[in-house]
Amino acid sequence: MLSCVVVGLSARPIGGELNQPLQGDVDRGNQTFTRVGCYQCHGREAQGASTGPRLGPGPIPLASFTRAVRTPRADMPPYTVKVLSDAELADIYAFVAARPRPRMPQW
Amino acid sequence: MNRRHFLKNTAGALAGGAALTGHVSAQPPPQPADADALTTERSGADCMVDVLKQIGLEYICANPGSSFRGLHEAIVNYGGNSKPELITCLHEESSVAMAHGFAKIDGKPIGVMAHGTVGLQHAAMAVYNAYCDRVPVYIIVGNTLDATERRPGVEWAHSVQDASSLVRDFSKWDDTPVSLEHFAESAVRAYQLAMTPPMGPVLLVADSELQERPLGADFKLRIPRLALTAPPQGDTAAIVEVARMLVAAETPVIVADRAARTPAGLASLVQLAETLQAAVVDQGGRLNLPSRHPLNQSAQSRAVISSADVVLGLELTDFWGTVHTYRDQLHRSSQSLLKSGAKTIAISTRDLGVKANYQEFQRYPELDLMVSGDAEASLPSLVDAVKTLVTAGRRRVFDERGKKLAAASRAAYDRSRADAAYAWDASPVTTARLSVEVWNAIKGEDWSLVSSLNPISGWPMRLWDFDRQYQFIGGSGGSGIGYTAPASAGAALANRPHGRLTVTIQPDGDLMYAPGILWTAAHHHIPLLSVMHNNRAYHQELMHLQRMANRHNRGIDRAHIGTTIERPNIDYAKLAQSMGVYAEGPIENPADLAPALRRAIAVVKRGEPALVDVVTQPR
Ligand code: HEC
Repeated sequence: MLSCVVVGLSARPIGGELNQPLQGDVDRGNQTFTRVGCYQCHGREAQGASTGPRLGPGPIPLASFTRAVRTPRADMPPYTVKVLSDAELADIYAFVAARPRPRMPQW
Repeated sequence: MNRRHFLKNTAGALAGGAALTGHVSAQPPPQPADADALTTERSGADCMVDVLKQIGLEYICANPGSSFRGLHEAIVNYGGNSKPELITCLHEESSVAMAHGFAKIDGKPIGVMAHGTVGLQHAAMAVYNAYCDRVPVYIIVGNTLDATERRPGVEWAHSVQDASSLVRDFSKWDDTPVSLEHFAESAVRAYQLAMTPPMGPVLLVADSELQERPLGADFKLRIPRLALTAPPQGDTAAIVEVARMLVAAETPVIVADRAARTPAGLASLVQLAETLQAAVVDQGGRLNLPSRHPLNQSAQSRAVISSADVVLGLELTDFWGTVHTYRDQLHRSSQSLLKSGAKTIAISTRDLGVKANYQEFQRYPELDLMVSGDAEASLPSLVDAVKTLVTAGRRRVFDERGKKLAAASRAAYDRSRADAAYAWDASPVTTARLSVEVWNAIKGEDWSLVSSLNPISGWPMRLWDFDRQYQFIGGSGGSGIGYTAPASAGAALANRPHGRLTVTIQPDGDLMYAPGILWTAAHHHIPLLSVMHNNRAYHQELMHLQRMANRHNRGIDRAHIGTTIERPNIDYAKLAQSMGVYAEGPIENPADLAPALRRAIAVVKRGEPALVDVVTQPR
């Protein structure tokens, strides 16, 4: 499993004031994902639940991901830059992107 | 006047002038010469037991209390502790919730006894759940109304003028009989009312004087005949109109919540859906449609409702919420899901039992057609009315529609299986993996799942094959936590004579309200498999806290304070073992789950409860 994923592959900045794509750290992302409560609704492995959709592997593009977190379209609580930095969000993105693809279990 | 001696000695005439003088002596009363004056062979409570036997209460769940000691003793001795048999509960909330779960499997109420004061106070939340869930529960509370008869001290603290007033806002009916004849009549009436849709909990106050009143050996109580009320059906003309709208519709959707009260309700809904080849959304108040029926579109409820031209709601808790989205943000907002011109119809008994104070009746739904009547009772005539209106042309349209719906439901099932595979090997165990492992362990048995599915993201309904009414009984009704463990025990008690394997997915927070139910299950040999969904939190509240923290831009990492059940972790296996229940866990590695379930099921099949503690993902 990758421990470090480069996110924001487009040249566009992802956070308000940042010009460079952020380097997300998977392990740090995992910790942040738990610490700030993403796991509550999306599952500890971002696998999704009735309370929030699956986020990874294969997450939506970072710009949409960021928009969904900052200004949620429906019921998700908003995480503003005041409480969750772009760098922390990049870590989270790296974490969800690095979730393993499942093999279809036999049952 | 000491009424406790009134009937025994005389069956009419007054016993001894002393009782009339009102003289109070500081001396202890002289020892009566006649030992007979201290005992009686027959009491008012014996007659009450005759009444309970006649109406057919099979069990009485109770935590013992002095205000109903007379009745308790009469059940055990005079009644032979059989029909009703006493079930020892360690909390009155457990007593009522057990009766709640029992009635949903068996279709008939069982009894509960409690103190009219402290016992009913304990029981109140469970009464509310049963009320919201439209389930009959037969509650008898003890009380001592006559102030001059009360023992000093505790009996005063345990006496009340109007015991039922505590729960009158959320029970169906109650009475405070002042004679045994009155008790008999009200007991029969209470049973009848509890069983008339919309069903609900009822209360009778058994005054201690009536219970303990000595009776002559020849005293006979007349017990009125019990006749159950045929459930109310929707108005004939209205039902025909409903049929006309459904047959004319291009994309009708039937939404059902507490529609199927019995297997007949399930069969009727299948018939209606198949005749129309209409989409069905089962909201899961009961099992209304087999989970893998090709017309079952519950997995894509929002999509089918938003493309419907007619929505028929059957015994919905919340029609408004069914056809709206709701956004819980700083400024709350909502939007209709319905496309313009869509028509809405309800068949329901909801408004027949509505009360004002507690607001479980939900928002006003602005329907096009509201039919007051029990959905299950109204379905056969609706099916007939639909059949007479279907032409060959409409049948071809229906068949095409049915094929598309069948393909959609197959696709939804495949999607669910694929979704369940994510984080398959994760620890804590995912709720999908938990559901699959339990399914694998029980699918060869005659099983019954008796817990709500919300805490585990509804996985069983998406993955298992439910096709019998007793295989699922919905949730608590009022979302009063502490329901699942006792209601599951009650449901398992009702399933016991049928030899069914009763399974509950037991949330940790819920169990800790009154874990003594585990002892009750062990003591009474109630075969129940409890599989813990141990997410170590009041998780719903944790998410609410997170929402508030985010909304206020502060402390987004502190939502666990006051909402999680960690440090120390509770060892549920030890807890269960301490009460005589076979238990394993905590299981953190999903690979350990299947063998643990096999061992636990072997215990349950021997007629005893078992518990497997599984540390799980939040939802
Ligand atoms: C209280 C529940 C809750 C919490 C906490 C939560 N989410 Fe969500 N999330 C949702 C829900 C529900 C949705 C679906 C869209 C909506 O309702 O806004 C969602 C949607 C999303 C989406 C969009 C997914 C898509 O495919 O469109 C992303 C990305 C996301 N969440 C990321 C996060 C991250 C990252 C965190 C933590 C920083 C988080 N969420 C915390 C409930 C939650």
